[in-house]
Amino acid sequence: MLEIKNLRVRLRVEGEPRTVIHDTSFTIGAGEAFGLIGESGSGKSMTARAVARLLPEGAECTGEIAFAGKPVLALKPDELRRYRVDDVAMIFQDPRASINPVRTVGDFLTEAARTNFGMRRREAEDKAVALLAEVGIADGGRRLKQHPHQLSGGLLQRVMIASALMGDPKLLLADEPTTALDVTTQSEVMGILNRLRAEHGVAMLFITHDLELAGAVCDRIGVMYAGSIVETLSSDALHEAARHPYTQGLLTSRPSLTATTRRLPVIPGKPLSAFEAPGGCAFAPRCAHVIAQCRESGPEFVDGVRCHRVGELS
Amino acid sequence: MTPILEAQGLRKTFGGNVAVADVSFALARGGSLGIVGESGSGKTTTARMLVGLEVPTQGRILFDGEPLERARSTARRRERARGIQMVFQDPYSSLDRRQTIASCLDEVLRVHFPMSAEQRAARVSELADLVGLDDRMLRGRPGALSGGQRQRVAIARALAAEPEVLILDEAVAALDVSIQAQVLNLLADIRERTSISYILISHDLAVVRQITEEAVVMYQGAVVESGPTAKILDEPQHEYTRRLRASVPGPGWVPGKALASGGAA
Repeated sequence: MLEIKNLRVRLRVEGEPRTVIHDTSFTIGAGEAFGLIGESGSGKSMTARAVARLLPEGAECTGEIAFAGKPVLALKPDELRRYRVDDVAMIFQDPRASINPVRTVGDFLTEAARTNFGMRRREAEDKAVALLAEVGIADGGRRLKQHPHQLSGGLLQRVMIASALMGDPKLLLADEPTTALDVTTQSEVMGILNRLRAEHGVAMLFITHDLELAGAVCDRIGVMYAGSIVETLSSDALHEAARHPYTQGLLTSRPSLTATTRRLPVIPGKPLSAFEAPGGCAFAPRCAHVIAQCRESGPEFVDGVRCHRVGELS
Repeated sequence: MTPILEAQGLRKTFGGNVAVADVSFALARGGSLGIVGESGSGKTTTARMLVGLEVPTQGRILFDGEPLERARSTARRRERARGIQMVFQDPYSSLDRRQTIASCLDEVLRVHFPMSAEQRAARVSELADLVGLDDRMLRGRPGALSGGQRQRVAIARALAAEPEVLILDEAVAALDVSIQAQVLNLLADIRERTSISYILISHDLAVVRQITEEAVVMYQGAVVESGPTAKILDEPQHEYTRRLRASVPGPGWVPGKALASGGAA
């Protein structure tokens, strides 16, 4: 349903063009959940924004993004509007930053439906209350009259999920939707998101820095480093079959809930953005398995992994 | 042996709101204690009372067996400030952006110790060494550093005072996974090399397991469970601890499963 091929994004930072996505390709099937994970500056959020055509002004985007065959990057303004109304919806990390604090929750939830689908207020409110019930908010009628500051972060994020589903989207772009929440609230919100997504048959691009969370809620995972996907794999295979040294490093450097080690195995150095990365393999400066070839040429993405030495290492 | 830091029946109210209801714990000399909880649990208010940023409404804090009362003289206040240091969560807002890293560390030495400029310069490079900062970073300002590097500076600045107790308030929470592992190792190394004790305030159970031996779990201002960290995580007794434990994603985890009881407001 969503097909991204050789996506490359450059932003203008202080007049200088900076590559933030180097070369990214992946697909998401109808109803599938794809997790995009990476550290700061890896380009994961920019990828989601490129899919919604929400990149900052002056961004240069090359490659292909096709949604159900439609070339997203070439959509005309009115087509783009329909695409955002009918096809995709987005949920962000901080619900408080993406809701108007002086309007009611009801206005927020129904505005799009009234504007885009010509729904009457009453009709839109009924739909909103039904969706609020689905996200576990029973007293929806009362909530519609409330203002955002009267709701906790967890409740507000559930309102965001309801809002995203108001337009019956086919693809949900969820950018760290639970990062700002407490762990118990995260578990609740993820549970709701997961269930609704399955019931409504909505596909999802799930952006997170939490490999374990992505593994638990997604069908497949793409690991991003310095603006490129370095590995894609099935979530079931995450712990046993991770092949790229970066994916393996991420898995082992997280402290464990069930055991203590004297020292954690670390990936040395710091994560790089695409524009900071050297020639050759972007991960080479931090990789324990680096050889001369890695510094000379960037590996191709072959059979789900981008690494020169994958044959010898796995 | 006398605990280095002890909290006895701490309570803090703000107006009619109870932030911390009743918190007691003891931190062994050279030990490491985790204070676990979510937003609103009172863990940060507890930390702020320990360093003297808030005055307890009730209860008392013993530092090396002596009650820490409101320090009346500058000298007393300084002594207390030296003994218990704190590292905050946000490495971007806890450093002065106009001050070079070397001058930031030097300032702490100047306040607390009668050292000559040469002695201070030598100690600054020693501290930089301990946390893995190089000369170029020392000469630079915070703006030139990454989040992980800033957090190393914050740790070095806290260590400059040669504290007995280091309070880490979500000090690794904002760091990238690969950087977090580096800082956790650094904290383990420092404890091995010095006789320092840690109080780690965190919502991240895996981080708590990695660097503490003892832990208290706080919920709505009160301690609901305490004991050896490994035991609390392996055999949680309190219903809230169990829910917290079950909310952590991992292999075989099903989101929302821990939802069984409680739930958001």
